[in-house]
Amino acid sequence: MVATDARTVPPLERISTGIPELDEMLAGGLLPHRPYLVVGPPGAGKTTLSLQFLIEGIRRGEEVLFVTLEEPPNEVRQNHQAMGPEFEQIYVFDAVPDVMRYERTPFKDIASVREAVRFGQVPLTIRQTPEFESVEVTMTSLQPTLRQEVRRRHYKRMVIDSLTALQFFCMPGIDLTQGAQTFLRFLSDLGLTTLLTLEVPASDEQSEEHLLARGELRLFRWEAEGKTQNAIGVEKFRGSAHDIHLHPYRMSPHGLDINLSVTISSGGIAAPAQADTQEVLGVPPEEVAYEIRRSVLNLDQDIRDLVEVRVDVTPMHEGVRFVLTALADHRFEDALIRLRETRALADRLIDEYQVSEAAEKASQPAAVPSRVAPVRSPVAVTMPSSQPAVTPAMPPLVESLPPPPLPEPIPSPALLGSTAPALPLQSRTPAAVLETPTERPAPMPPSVVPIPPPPPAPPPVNQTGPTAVPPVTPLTLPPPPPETPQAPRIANVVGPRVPEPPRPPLPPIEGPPAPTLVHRFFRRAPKPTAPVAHATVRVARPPIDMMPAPPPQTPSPTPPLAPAQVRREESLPAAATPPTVKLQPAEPVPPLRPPPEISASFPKPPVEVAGERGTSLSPAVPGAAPVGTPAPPPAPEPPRMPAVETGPGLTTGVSGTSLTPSPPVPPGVTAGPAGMRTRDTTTPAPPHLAIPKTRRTPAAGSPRSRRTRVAEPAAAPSSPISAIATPPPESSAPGGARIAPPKRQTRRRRKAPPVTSADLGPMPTNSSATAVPASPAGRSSEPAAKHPPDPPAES
Amino acid sequence: MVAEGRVSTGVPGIDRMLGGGLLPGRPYLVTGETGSGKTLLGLRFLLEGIRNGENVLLVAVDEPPTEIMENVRSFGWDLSAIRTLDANPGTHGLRRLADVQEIRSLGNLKSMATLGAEGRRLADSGDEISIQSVYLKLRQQMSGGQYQRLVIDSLTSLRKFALKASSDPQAERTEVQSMFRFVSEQGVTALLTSAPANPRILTPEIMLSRGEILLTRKWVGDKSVRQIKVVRFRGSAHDLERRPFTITLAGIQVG
Repeated sequence: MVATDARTVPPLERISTGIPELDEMLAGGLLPHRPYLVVGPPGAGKTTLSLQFLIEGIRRGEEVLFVTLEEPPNEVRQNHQAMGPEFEQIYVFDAVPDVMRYERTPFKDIASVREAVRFGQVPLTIRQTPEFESVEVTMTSLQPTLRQEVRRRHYKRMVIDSLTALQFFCMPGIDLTQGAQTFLRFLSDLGLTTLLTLEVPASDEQSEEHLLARGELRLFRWEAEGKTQNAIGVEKFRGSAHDIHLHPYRMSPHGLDINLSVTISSGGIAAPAQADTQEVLGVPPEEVAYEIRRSVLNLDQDIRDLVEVRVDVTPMHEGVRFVLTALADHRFEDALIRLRETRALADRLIDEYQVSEAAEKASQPAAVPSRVAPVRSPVAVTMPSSQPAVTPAMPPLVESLPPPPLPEPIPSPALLGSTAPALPLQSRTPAAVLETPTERPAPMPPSVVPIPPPPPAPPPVNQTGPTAVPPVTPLTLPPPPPETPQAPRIANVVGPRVPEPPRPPLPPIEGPPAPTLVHRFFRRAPKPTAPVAHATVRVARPPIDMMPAPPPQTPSPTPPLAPAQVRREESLPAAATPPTVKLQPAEPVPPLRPPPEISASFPKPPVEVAGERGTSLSPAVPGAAPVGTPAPPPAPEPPRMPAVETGPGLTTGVSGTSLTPSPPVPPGVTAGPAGMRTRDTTTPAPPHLAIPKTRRTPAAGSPRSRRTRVAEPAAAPSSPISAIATPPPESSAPGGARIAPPKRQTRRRRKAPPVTSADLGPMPTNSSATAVPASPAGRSSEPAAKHPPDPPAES
Repeated sequence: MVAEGRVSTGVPGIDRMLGGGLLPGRPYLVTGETGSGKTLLGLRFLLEGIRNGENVLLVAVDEPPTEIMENVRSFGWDLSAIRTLDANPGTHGLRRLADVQEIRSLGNLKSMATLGAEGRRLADSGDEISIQSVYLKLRQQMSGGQYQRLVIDSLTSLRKFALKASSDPQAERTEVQSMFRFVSEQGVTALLTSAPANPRILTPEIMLSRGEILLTRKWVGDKSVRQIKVVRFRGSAHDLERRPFTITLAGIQVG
């Protein structure tokens, strides 16, 4: 029920640096759970800046950790005591190497002899190298130590001061650049928002490490006319707009004092800052456009849901058209304003509907709303309009499914209700799988192309299936429910889907199940759905784009320490990051990849499902174009088929991917799982759906996360990093991931975090990849549409 | 002149630029070309300690202590109370790698006053010098923390020996790090002189020193002008300007 305006606009969570001017340069702050570099010559203020970042965390009640490798903690304390009382609360871990011993002495593990203490407890005298033992500080000994520290306390922010010291003194026999890269990956896995200071020579050469971090703040020190001049700039900041100018700053006892009203060039020549704020915010207009499109996609989903509920959505359609038109004309401001209005309207209608429904339906309804409300915020769909048209066949697919299923625990509220229970039946059946697809389709109509719902197939229910869903089906999702409708579903999928709009979806929903569905429908609920859908969908390759960042992902096998938190956050970030994705997009992998991507994106949800479904699907796939082949899962498959049709090559690839995973799990196997599976299945087929989910995911955080975990396996490669960081990785992951067998999946699942990222990543891709175009009908388009919006289009 | 909790460099103008003086117990760099005044500044710093009744130590790597004494005679400075470690390598000092065992051959600390004008016979003193050997000697002599001030002249030369000892840059960095850590743990305020670093290369001493005083010379018209600048100084406000200074019979004067 939370219907906040925030949803509409890029709702990325931002982490304040503790320096308001710097936050402004960063368009609000840092994106959470990522490592950032603070680069500059010695003495420029890197340590001070990073301490301000930590103090800001203290002010917000967070636990923060300062890892010092260069200056002894006692000196850091003496140097920065004036920064405020909060400084004393910072935990500091002394990783400064001891005096080298030329005699042989027993080595001790650093983790066994040191732990973080608050600065307030740091002695004023320097720690003495022990006389008869040596503590070796190397990167390999430091990593597990840090991991242990992070487990001990739930740090939200961390500073490594400095990465250069780590390279110089703690990486014997390791290539400095590779070592730094490995360490950054490790940090990505930890999932904390981390600043690493990096020392560079006085001249401003670019460091090699700048390629590795998600963002880089650069401190300069020049001498102009005999006087030292300091300047700060944002070298890069993936996933966000940022100030592109250098601004002078001074060091004060309290920290950096940045003067935003002046810009400065490398010669140290200052000039009044031009009033090009717009440039600042719009630096990457394509990113703004991307966010808007995503929001529109989300909105589109809600509108479809409302249509099913027979709410008059005309004003919202107009709003969406206006937004898209403005977007096309690069009138971002107009687009944003109208988008917010439309979003608010949709939220209000959804709330009204839910309230009334709740009134009608006894208790259960209530439950539903709650689920929904939670997540939602993030992304919305992108490009609703365009996409819709694109892939008619693909359409909606599953995405709706959210809920689910996972047997596991669902963190989020949404999950609770729906999943487990009833569905087993459906889930077991192929139909269940299909379900997913159905759901989505129905809604589609949104602005662009509302394709009517062809058919009949309400089968979609399955999704709901997980729990009570079936009944729910009526909801938005096209699929009605429970029944066997598989066939119908298929029909939907393939065709225009959306058939059932009229139906009284709600009714079916009834008590318990209904809620879920509703949620799903409205983005709020998304979480659950999202995951599933994503998984399915995304076969479409578009995701590739997202992949950009891949490299990072691969590396770190070890997932982050704090999965739960990380996951959630990650997911959010991911959504936010879309831009990032763009960066990496470079490779447009064709069909084949898409599938992987999809999986990757979906990962969470998909995971389990995917496995199962994958199997089922795969059969279908073979059939390839012909949707039907896989008779087994009647309804569901059909939908998939359509998708395939759109991109034969792709589909196959997808199916293949899905298959791999799936083998392990039989489709319907477990009731609980079944639900999941169904979704998964759905997901695979309609990548589009997947996208939506992602967006929704944010809202549905917990559920999705679980799903994601599952899905992750597919994406495996990218795993941690990608998850944490950005989409880019995801993309990479997907391709490789798919292949990866179930085993991987399981691992990933555990890792949860990765999932989120994956989700995000995929979404974009999907959209771009394919679907969008197809969107013949709104329904099919739904998923597709969402995908398209992603990076590709924007980019 | 010297603010509380600060260590005077012995030159009031530089103390002012440092916001009152150096922070105690930390190692600092004094960089500059040959002849820019690094050694003089280091000696002035030690003499200030003597004046305060502190124990001070000079590690002479570049020039033999006897030459140093002669060079400052014109200033009327009395270095006799300065303890010195003659770390000048012997003539065949570059011949082979230093071994830990060889430190024992390194001369013991002497008071400047005990050095004869004749100096040391270079040909006969084949001391092998390396960071390890100096470090071990220092450790042997300084355990107990009886020194308050230390000057190593110069770190650049010391590093050359270290380089010789190990062609592995990683090992060399580690040795420099270890040296700075050692100095820090002794609680001694130290000046390490060094040739100006290549601005395009990051060296561990730049990273690890808590501050840097840069001495330069510049031609202004037909005259060579000495300039001094505090490049960086952790934990303290400091002068951002580059200022002229002079070295005359009256000593070092800024401004």
